[in-house]
Amino acid sequence: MPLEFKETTQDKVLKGKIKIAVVIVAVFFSLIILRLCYLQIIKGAKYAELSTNNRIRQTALPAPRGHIFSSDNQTLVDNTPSFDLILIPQDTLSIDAVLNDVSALLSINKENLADLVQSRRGRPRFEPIVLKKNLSWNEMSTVLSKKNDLPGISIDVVPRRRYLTDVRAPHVFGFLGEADQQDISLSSSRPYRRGELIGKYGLEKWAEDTLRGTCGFLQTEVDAFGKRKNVLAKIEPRGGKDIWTTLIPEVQKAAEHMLEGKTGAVVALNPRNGHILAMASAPLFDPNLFSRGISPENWRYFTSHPHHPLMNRAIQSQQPPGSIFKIVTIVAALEEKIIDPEHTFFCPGYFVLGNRRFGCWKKEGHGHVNMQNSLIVSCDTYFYNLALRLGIDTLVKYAEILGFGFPGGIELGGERPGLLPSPGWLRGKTGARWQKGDTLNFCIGQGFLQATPLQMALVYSGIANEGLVYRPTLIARTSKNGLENAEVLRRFSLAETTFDFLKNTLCDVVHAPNGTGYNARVPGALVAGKTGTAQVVSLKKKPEKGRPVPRHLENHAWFVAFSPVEEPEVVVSVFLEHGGGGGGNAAPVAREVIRAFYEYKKKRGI
Amino acid sequence: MLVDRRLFLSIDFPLLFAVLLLCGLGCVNLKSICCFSEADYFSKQLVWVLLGFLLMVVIINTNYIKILRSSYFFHSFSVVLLVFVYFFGTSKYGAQSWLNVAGFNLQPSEIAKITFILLIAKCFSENLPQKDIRGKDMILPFLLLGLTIAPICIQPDLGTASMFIITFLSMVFFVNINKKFVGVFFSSCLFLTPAVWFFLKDYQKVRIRFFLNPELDPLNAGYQLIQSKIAIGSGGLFGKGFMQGTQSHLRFLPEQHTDFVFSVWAEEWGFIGCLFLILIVFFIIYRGLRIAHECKNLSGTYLAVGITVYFFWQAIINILMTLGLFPVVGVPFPFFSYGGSGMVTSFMGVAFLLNIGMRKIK
Repeated sequence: MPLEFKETTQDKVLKGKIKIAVVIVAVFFSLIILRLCYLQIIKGAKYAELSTNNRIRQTALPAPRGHIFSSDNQTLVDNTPSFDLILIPQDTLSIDAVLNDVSALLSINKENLADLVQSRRGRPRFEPIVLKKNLSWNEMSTVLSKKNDLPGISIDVVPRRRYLTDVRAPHVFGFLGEADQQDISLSSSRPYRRGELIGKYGLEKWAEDTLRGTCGFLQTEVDAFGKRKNVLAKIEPRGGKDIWTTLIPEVQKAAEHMLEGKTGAVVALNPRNGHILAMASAPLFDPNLFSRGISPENWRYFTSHPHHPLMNRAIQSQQPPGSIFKIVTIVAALEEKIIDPEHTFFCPGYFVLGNRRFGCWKKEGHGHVNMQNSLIVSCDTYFYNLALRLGIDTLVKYAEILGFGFPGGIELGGERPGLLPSPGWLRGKTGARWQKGDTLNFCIGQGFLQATPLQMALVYSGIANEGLVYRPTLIARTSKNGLENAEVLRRFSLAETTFDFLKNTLCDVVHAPNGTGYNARVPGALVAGKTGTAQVVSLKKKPEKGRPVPRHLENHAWFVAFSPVEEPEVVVSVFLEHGGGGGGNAAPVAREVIRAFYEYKKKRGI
Repeated sequence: MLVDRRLFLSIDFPLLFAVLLLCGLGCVNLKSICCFSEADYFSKQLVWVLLGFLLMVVIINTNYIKILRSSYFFHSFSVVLLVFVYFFGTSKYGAQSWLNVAGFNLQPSEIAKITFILLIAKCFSENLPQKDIRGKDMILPFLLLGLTIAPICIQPDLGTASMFIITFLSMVFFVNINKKFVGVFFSSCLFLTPAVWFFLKDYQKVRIRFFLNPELDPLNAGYQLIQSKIAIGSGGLFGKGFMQGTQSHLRFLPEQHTDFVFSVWAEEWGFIGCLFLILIVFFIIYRGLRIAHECKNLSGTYLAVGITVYFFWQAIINILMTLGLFPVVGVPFPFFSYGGSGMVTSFMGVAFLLNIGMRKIK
């Protein structure tokens, strides 16, 4: 395929330009060669010296995390210096000899140390290896006194997270852990370094961006023993920002004290702005164990513990609410006006539906019960009667209005929404038809229904605050004199008489002579509340009377209260997993929490 | 032999030899880097060189004029890949420009560089008038450039995008263009440069800001450059010797196997080694321009010129980067840096140079 060729002006210009290009290229390369000449030959000796003495170390200076304060400026979480024993392999002639000395000095198993060093093979020899974290004062002084005999060994000061022992609230504050591969590779403007601590749980995780500081750098020259000779450059670390939680340490402490040895959760909140005053979950754990990254043994202990201490039961435990749900049935009956509150039903201790008997919790029966008494004595039979007149759809409608089945939207991760069953849900789930018996279970808070302790606190704060529910929050403000955080979660309207009736009756539950919630009485204050005892298995399966009930068959105890009855300032929700009866076991917990709240108010003079 | 005997004899063997020598030196250099690290770049690089060589043999066998005819098709395919990578690619160093194919990370923007040069060569030779080229004649080439770099800018891989622009403008230099147009164009470019700043990612701004003012941040971004300079300077006249470079082995040098290979080489082989390396590169570029000069076909000339300037800029920018005379933009040294896509692309480029060179007689 011969091509025609004709020399044109264009070709001439092009060929000329190619010649120019050769010259330009040659000039560029000559300049580079000149530059190399300057760097390598003229300045070569200087750079050679710089490289042989390249004992320039670049170390990151960890930035202290922001503190966590209570809303009245008490310190709840801060930082404290912690001392690490480090080895810089490059600065020592014989790692083995140094490890021998260290293991003898501090009586640490030498093999463990050798493993640590071994695991860092292939890393640059100037990178420090942490041999032991959190040295005690004794250990530190031992090492420091022998420092000159231990080339390559030094002590590093790093800030350690400290959760003040007074108030622990581990599930709220959460804990830190070492940044894993995922955190490091996240494309962020402030990437994490390997081994840097990052909030892994609770507020530490939620407020990570606020609490985390910006780490600094230190460039130093070091001598043959790894001692810093002079600082070449330094960028100061910048500490993280502080946050102020809504928790009141005194109330939190009371809640944690009352939960000791039990399994369960307490939530106390202010119904007028959604601030969580206390949130405790038991069993507790010590977040200080996590403050420098948790040891594998401790982690195994936590994850294999039968009661899952790392679970925040206040927002993650979903259980049938039992009788504390009964206010929904009352609201439905009052709003739909299907019954006169003075109308009585007779309770023989059971209720017959078709060929099935639905028991009242009191086998002997309550006799004639009106609406007010039904709540005070928590008579199941009365509610069975109401439920059949209302029907499941109406009940579900009111449960939804009051907030069942929805998460509250708190800052902590892992909040569960509870479960509000309905005939449609059941059909979708199992294909079964909703039976009237299911309605009877539903109206007393049993069966499929599930709620979290926080959710119950929100439902009752809706009653206490007459239809206005604030989003539960743990963050009071993000600066010392910043605005108080408050956001409306939902609003619903019920007749004023309904609110009045509920408040007065719930007050009677605690204060009436025959009230089931008498254990929640607090001297000098009016408390409104409701007990709940959620059955885990039906009564038939339980062992006979007089014989001890195994723990896993024991009922769940609930108590939800608010106080004062007019213009409530605090709502407390108590849940004890397999804790027995609500009135006997959960109500005293609520009482102490409310008492602590009033004492705090008195102390602060508000 | 696959190639016709007559054609085979007219291959530019000095050029081929220089390229293979450069690859060999690159592998030797990588061997030195590998000896203290877990990653075996050396063996992987050998595989890439072999792959590139095979691809070269394939390309040499087809007349480049035939390939040029389909250049619109080839380049469309590259652009589709570029768009594809935006949606399905994996991210590295903040830019989503890698495509994972059967365990290998491919960078479609590398392949696109060659197809782009093919396309522009075809466009220049067919769509431009003989003389006095005006602004309106340049609309089509600039449009093609815009369409190509748009997906790259979105990734965002501005280093690669500017390589396209530099290569393109260098090719425009060879066109017999109206001088007034050149004046207007460059003054408007000067005017628009500050606007580019707003499209840069934070890390890129840091690099450029540091480059303009090294004292600003001697610890993070500046650290690389200081260490690279120490590495090069400490090489001296004869270097520290193979595998004796302390800067690289103590990992003072970042990205030793890609962006900073030249520093490793300079430290171990000294000024003499650098001179040798630069002469090889100069020789490759000289031979490329010679092929362009001797080619009697306009499209062939443009293609040879395009590929040669592409090699030239890559090498120059990479060296200037390690010398601290250019911001660190992540441009590899052709045939010398580690990298599969880069190696294959460079071999494709050389294949076209040889292809043009051996068919100049026709």
